[in-house]
Amino acid sequence: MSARVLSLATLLFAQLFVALIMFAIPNITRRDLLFGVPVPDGFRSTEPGRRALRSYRLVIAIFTAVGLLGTAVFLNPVFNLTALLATAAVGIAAFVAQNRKLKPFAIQPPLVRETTLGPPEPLPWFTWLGIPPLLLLAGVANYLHSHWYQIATRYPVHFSLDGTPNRWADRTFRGVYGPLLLGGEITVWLFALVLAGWYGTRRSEPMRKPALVVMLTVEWTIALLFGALPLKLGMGIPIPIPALALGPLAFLIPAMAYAIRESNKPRDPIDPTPNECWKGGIVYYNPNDAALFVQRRDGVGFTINMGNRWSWAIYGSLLLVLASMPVVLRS
Amino acid sequence: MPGPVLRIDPASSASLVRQIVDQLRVSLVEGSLKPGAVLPPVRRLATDLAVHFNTVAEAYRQLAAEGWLDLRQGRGATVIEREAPAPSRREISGYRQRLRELVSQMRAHGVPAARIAAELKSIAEGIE
Repeated sequence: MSARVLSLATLLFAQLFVALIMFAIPNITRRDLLFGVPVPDGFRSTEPGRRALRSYRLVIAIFTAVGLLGTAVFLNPVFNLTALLATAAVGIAAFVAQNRKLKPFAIQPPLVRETTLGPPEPLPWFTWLGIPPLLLLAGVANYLHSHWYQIATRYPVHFSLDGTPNRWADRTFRGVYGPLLLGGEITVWLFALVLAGWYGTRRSEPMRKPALVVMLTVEWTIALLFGALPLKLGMGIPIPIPALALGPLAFLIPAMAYAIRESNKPRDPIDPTPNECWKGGIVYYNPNDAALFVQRRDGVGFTINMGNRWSWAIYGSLLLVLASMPVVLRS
Repeated sequence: MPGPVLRIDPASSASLVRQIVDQLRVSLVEGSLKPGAVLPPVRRLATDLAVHFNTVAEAYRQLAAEGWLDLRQGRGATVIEREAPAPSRREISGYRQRLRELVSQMRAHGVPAARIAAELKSIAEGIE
């Protein structure tokens, strides 16, 4: 298979994947929410509900078709990336547009709150499974240190789609430990997010544990990937490429399936956050709500309460991790 | 065993602080929150009730000022033994006035006098 065909297939797949996610958002959202608007039972089968779904899907379908066609014709990286981002941006814009149209049909979930005055609950035991990924990265760093002279003086770290290396790293401190450091930063950030997720959500939230499981799975995936790459590329340890590429999916797919199954279980009414605190059905801003994470209205899981000051710490630390990439990865 | 339930309604005419204070006081007087019991930290309770931290902190402060809670940095709010103060004549008069208003409201809503008396007796005996 030529590199051109492989590139085309990869780009088309990426665009199709983004489009499918956008397309599926109304389906994976609770039935009592439509485009972030709490609606009465059976609203989806009414004319306004059907019209909203139709319009949204039509916009996504048109932009996806244009994007795919453009990608096939031009096969230009800039165009392809633009088409990919445009599909996501158009999907979000279409979601917000439908959110605005459906607002007149919104019902306000009752704002009455109840909680028990029990003692503070302990963290679930499996939260501590967030520590081994850090130890794993430290172990790999230690192994590389003790086998320093077995690492190739120059080794490939990036490949084109046909497998030709197009970027190399040297056997320097930054070249060898840089990716591990970045993996460590992301892992620490994710583990902090796991803890923040546990303490920053309401105890009554049924998706609290499934979300924790998904976050831990992502953390393990990142640590395994960043730990395996230096061993394979720098030391030539024969770790099969399919295991590296598909291994993460073996963790992520069951975790996501578990979270989606839990989210679809019959349960109490939606998290009674005030409708007026939702911007476009996507962003929640309520400085009078102490929760850091609330049940999202545009899919499964949680979103950050932008009115909570700790939300800035989360985004700020993520920016720091991203900003450190060019520094730690330069070799 | 789960502790007492706290329920707040933002649509109520009573402020959120007042709702929290009143319900906690009922639990304290009735004994479902006994001396030594530790209340949830301010952040935990505020998160669960979807209110601002200051709302819960203010409620805890008011109860501490009444002598029900001991607030110590880092240890949360602990229920303490409290000597019931001897109410002054003026305070008794104030309570009487509030009860009269409440009873009038109940009568206005059609609750018979005998039922009101029975309810008051039952509540008073229940929290002894």
